[in-house]
Amino acid sequence: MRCISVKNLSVNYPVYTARALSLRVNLVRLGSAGRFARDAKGNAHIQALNDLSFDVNIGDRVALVGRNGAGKSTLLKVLAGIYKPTAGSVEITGTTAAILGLGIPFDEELSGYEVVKYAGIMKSVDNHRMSEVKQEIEEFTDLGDYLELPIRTYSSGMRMRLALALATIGRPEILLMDEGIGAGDQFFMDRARERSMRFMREASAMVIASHSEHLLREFCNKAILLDGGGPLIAGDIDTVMEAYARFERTPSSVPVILPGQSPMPCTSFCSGNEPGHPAHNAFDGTFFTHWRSPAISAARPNAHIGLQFEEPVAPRRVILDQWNAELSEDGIIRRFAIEASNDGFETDIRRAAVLSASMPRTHWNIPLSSIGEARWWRALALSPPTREAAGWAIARLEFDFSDDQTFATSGPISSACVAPAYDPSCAFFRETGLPWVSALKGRHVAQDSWIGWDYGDSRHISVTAVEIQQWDGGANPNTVSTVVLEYSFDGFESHAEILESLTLVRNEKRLLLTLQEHEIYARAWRIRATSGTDGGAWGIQHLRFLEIEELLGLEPVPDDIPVDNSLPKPAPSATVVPVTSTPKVPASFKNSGDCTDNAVEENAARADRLIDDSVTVVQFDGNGYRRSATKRDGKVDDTTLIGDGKKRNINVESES
Amino acid sequence: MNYVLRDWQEAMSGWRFWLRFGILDINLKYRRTYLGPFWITLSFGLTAAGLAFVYSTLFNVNDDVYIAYLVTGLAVWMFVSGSIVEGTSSLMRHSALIRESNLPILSHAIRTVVGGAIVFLHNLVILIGVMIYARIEPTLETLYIIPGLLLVFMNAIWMTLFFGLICARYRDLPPFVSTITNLMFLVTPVFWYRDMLEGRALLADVNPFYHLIELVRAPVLGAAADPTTYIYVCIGTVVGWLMTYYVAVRFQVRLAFWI
Repeated sequence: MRCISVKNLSVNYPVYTARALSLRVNLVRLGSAGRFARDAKGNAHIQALNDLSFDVNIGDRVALVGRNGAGKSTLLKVLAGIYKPTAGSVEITGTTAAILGLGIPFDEELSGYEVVKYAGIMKSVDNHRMSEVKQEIEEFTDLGDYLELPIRTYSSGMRMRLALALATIGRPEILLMDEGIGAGDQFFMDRARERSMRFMREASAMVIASHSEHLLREFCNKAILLDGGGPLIAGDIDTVMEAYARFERTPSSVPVILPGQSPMPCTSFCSGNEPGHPAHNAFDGTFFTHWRSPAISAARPNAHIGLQFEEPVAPRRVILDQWNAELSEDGIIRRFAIEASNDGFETDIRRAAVLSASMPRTHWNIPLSSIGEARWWRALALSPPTREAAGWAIARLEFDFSDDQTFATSGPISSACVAPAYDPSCAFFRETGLPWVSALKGRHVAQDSWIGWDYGDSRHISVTAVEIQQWDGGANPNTVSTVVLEYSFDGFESHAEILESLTLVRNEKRLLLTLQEHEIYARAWRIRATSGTDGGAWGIQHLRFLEIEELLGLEPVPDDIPVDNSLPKPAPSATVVPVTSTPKVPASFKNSGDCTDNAVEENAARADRLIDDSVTVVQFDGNGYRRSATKRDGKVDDTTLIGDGKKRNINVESES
Repeated sequence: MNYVLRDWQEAMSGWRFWLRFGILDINLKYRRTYLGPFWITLSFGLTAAGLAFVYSTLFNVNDDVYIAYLVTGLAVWMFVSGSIVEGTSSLMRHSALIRESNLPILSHAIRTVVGGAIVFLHNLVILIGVMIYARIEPTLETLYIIPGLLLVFMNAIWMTLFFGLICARYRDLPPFVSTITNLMFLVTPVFWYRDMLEGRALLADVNPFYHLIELVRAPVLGAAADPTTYIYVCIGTVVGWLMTYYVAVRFQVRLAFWI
């Protein structure tokens, strides 16, 4: 039987400052014909709960977990009837008792007995039960004659005992509890636990918010992980606690919209970790399949969301919204990509596009038909950082897996549902100035970190040294299980190379110089490192590209590169064929634009006229693969296609 | 039924809370004093005696009935104005309870009114003394005091809730309201007669405080109040409650967030 039913609950509360609270401001607003409307009306709002839905049945013991500010206490206050929902509904069948804080809201002059009496009146305890309650409290608090004295004479420990005793008066059907028991002497703690536990056992349903995993695992059978006011995952306690452990150390913030400010991203925003999703069916064994980033309050230049499944699934569509503070300016979603992976490391890009539109167009709903299946999906959207100042960003990114037919045939999907802890500030940036250090340092430490650098269409870079440093809160040494270097010739189709696994000493910087073997020139590079999940407070603190080399002199390829899925995908550990090159290739090569083999050869031939040495000409083709033509001994002898790990010799004579 | 009406209904059924806590508030005020709540009676007695002495000299009336007139008027005035002035802080004072329990909001307002009513009842002792002194014999019409008091209480409750709600929202209002209330004391016929206004009697006739006082004062002096007073107050009660309802619908839903 259902006893709590929450539907689409949102709570959005105003924070009135002294200024906003005063009548003057409101009078000014009336008198100024809207001139100050923005200032006067614009109170700061906190979106404490965001579109939350769940049911609690009799017998359920629900744990609320999440970081500070995730909305746990607000949710409890709404269930307790103290806060009213801004939107949505809450239905509760049965009497509730809320233990939300251990304060005694009575005058200091009252004696302990009087406090008990009046607390009884407040909680509508029957007169004939009152003596029973009184006796119970006498036993529990062990205050003896102190109960006759005014509570102002009590020590803080005595106060707490009395407060806890008062909180547990009565026999509620639904118990709402925030944080449970605080500190106290050991003897008291044992008894406090005992009393709280009796209370918990007697309730027919319970919702409890706590940071104590031990307590939650002992008493709860279900759990909801909240973040940014929305549910991240809901289900049985083990699944949720496991997800929470992985999720806990990533940064978070409740979106606060301040008056007079455009809702620009907070610097600590990590888009991959703040999705909201409907959780209607959270408790019936199936998991949500629909993720979206928070709405406009969380607009940001880079946004990505991802999901990991235990079996391969296919997303149905991706939805992108752009947000523009200045309506006159056009917004451009610079790039958009769907990445898929079957192992969580090796990714390939199944869809990529450069989107641009003039202002009225702010929404894209992109169906992803025949995109193939994978266990690991990620949608990534980037807007140019130069537009940040102009108040422009991606407002919403939605990744939709709710293809009913797919699920009907493959059965319910259980997934860990935790997005990779990427730092969006480390996503592709196009800037000059090298080397580049990841922004992780000093702000937060992630267990899975990466930095990437997109050098642009016309620059071709080889990364020859990277540096990695771990941070740990005590457990040491630890293992960085994988370091992967990924590079891409077109910015989307990526090639990965697993460098090595490391054992790092605490706070030690470690240089990886093994890259000098490779002479790969690509436009986009990223390094990714994953540390183990031993539950300790440690992670990767610092990633850095130390040395890069640039290959000069090539013309840009067009932005809009169609991705051809028929081409073979790069194998995980493909050996990339080294390309001999000299950095002195003249800049005057012809770029025919159509990137045919002929054009490559033509350039090679021109190179022949300009330089006497052997030369390799590198050019991009329309499929995101790199072609090169090598001229040796005054003759173009072959062209090479790189990208699928295979070398192809093309007969020049027959081609021309 | 919306949450405001439900709140009011719950407040009514939870009468034990506001009654006991209203009495408690007064008890606490005089705890550890020797005279206890008798201080209320005493201080009102002294105030009334002083005012009666000064004003009977000032207005040159040597009528014992004037003293009864003044004392009754003063007692009702103190209750009604007290409901407003106390009302401004009635919710803010109990912000801890509002934030941590789901007690109906109205019950906090009634709790404040109960405190005022207890003070009023203590002052009745003086009133009875004055009636004996002025040799006013109770008649059947004196019983009009009962509906009169009921109406006064009904009004005191909405005033407390109304000012409690808007003052919790706009923190500039409490000093404003108490200043205006003090000003009203001067233009309300408490220690002077309405008839003294002569051509400006309208000033008293539109003054709701005058009518509220008349509801009690007229029966004490031996006659029912003027029928227009009853009509005026009945309409005022309905309008007042409707106004309070409107304000409650506007403000009460988010009260716990910003109190």
